[in-house]
Amino acid sequence: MKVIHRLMIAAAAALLLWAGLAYQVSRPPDASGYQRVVLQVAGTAHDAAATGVLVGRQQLHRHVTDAFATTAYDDAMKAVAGAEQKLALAVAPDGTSATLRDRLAPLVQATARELSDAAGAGDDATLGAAVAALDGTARQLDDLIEDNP
Amino acid sequence: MLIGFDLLDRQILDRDGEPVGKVDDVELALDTDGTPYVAALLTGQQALGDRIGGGLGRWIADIARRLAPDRDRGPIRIPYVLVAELTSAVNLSVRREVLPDPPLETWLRDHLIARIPGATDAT
Amino acid sequence: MSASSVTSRTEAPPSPAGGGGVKQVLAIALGVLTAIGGFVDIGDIVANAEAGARFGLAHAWVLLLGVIGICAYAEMSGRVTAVSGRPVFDLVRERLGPRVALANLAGSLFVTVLTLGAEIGGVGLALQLATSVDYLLWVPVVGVVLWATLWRAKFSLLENLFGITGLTLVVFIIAFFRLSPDTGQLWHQAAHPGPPAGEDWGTYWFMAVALFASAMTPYEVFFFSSGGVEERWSSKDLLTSRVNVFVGFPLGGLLAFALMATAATVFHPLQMSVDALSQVALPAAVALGKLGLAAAILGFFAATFGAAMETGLSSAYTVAQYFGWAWGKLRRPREAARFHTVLMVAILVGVAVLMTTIDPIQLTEYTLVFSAVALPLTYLPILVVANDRGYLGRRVNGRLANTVGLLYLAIVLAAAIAAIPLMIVTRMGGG
Repeated sequence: MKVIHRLMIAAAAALLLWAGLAYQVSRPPDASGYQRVVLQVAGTAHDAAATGVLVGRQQLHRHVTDAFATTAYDDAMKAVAGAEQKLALAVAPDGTSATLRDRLAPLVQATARELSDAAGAGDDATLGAAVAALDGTARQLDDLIEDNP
Repeated sequence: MLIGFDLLDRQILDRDGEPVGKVDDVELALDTDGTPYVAALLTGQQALGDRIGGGLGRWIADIARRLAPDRDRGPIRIPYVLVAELTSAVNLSVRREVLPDPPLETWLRDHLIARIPGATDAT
Repeated sequence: MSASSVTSRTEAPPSPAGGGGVKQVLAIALGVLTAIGGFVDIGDIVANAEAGARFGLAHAWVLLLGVIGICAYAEMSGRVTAVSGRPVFDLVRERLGPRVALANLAGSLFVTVLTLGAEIGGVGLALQLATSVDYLLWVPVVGVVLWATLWRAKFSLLENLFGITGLTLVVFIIAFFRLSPDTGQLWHQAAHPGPPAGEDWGTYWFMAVALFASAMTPYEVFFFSSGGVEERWSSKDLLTSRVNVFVGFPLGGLLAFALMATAATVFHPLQMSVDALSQVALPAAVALGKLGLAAAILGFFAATFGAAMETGLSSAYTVAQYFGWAWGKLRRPREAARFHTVLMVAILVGVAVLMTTIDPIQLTEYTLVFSAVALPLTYLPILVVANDRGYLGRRVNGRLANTVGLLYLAIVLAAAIAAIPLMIVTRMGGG
């Protein structure tokens, strides 16, 4: 086989692969695909909220340095921001999916808000309130995940 | 001795144990009654590229040729009489200074490494 | 993991009769300590914490499997080097020929340079935990310091320094006991391998492959054997090499296990996964407060910086050894211009990969998958050479070493074949 033939076959294979990938990425999600996105977003938000609770409690115990707490909150907020974006980009294919989204979206926003409250807290009382709020949000996210196995 | 098994691709060391290169190829010659023998070891990316062959091999050899001080010099050739002993490496009886310099090493040393402070310090 | 310092057994000079025994014992002890602290690198940190958080101790057996495997193969490559005086990659080319060895080189180099990037990112993240300055600002600084260190500094000293500083990761063992874990529950997880509720077998096996690759990362045997050549090991040094491997690695594996166990204690009951270095450090803070946290961060820093030095050197070793160039950290840079150029380029590429702003933890995850794919490239030639009487004479593999070696070759092949499909099916373990 000539080099040119080999090259052409390789190029065709690469093109096919690329087309497949493009189709996979761009096709509208079906209900189960959307459900997976929702669960991923809920999981990420839950993990971030739970991290916030852990970090906040250690902060109240004076168990962590400020630099560490700042970084830990930052990491959690970054994760939530990514999740929020992912949820916003996905289009709900049907009514059930939309209901699910409407249940999840406020929780994700609450996580982001409460994390930033905890990160900016000036005294123990504010921090304690933020941690309690995060704990509640984490529980609700957990329930949402349990309800949609 | 099997050339393919005991000689090719072995590390060449000079008399002080300093690395010279690999046995990238060998040069065979015929003696008076027609038996072939190893006349020289060829080392360097030129010899290696030619041995690997194909597009990649040509590319490797071509770069080596470009860097060489003289394009028609050919690969670095070490006459077999300079080989003192064959162990897990090929040990020469001379110091590497008497052999031709590898072009890439010279080029990188002169243009990059030797210009950075501390290049001649032992660690 | 980073095999560190099996090589770092201090250059104990032949001492006059009398004090020799004590000195040798001290040298061996130092080597073992360095090997323990140097075992853990960013791959172990990430893989063990993630596995512990999501699956509890259900992957404990994989870590054990990996540690036994690396012991077996590190012993082989140490023996090959001590007896033949040649580093492993030299022999790879001699036995596989220039074409196959070139493909091998390309694969190993790709994985090692990516790992170098991940380690530099890990150093940046550790510095961010200590200072709250974004890791991306640290990355170029770390790159320059790393290069300057390898250019000028006395390597064996630094290797011991970082290895022993890495021992502060012992804090996770102490933290584990202070957390008063539910040992019955943990034992149940370890004894019943498999995914807990909410996880599936695909992600379970994906995690298992990553964890196995983190324990058996390929760069370490190249690093290990090259160090042995530079220190002019001979058959006399076999004992030191074996003590370091068989004592140092399992104890280092214990540190990795502590990371998994603390994550299993703190995060698993909350059903949360871990995807940031700050989370990995939390159990130490929960159990031991600021001091514990500081020890954890110091340990992360030392472990990743030490591993960055080793992966950087390993990249340059493999290239130089394939082409037969002068190499080594004991040579003046001027005498090994090609070696030092490759080293410099490797660090630059590692830094450049991070500057794309890819998350270092994600980069580590990808690195582990590609490491798994590249494992057979490294371990098959070692097994072949370790059976070659031309190099090893009567010191070739015994029946035990060959049985273990063949068994692991099968495991390594299975992991390599499964790695990419598992990555695609589980979307990087995301489910």
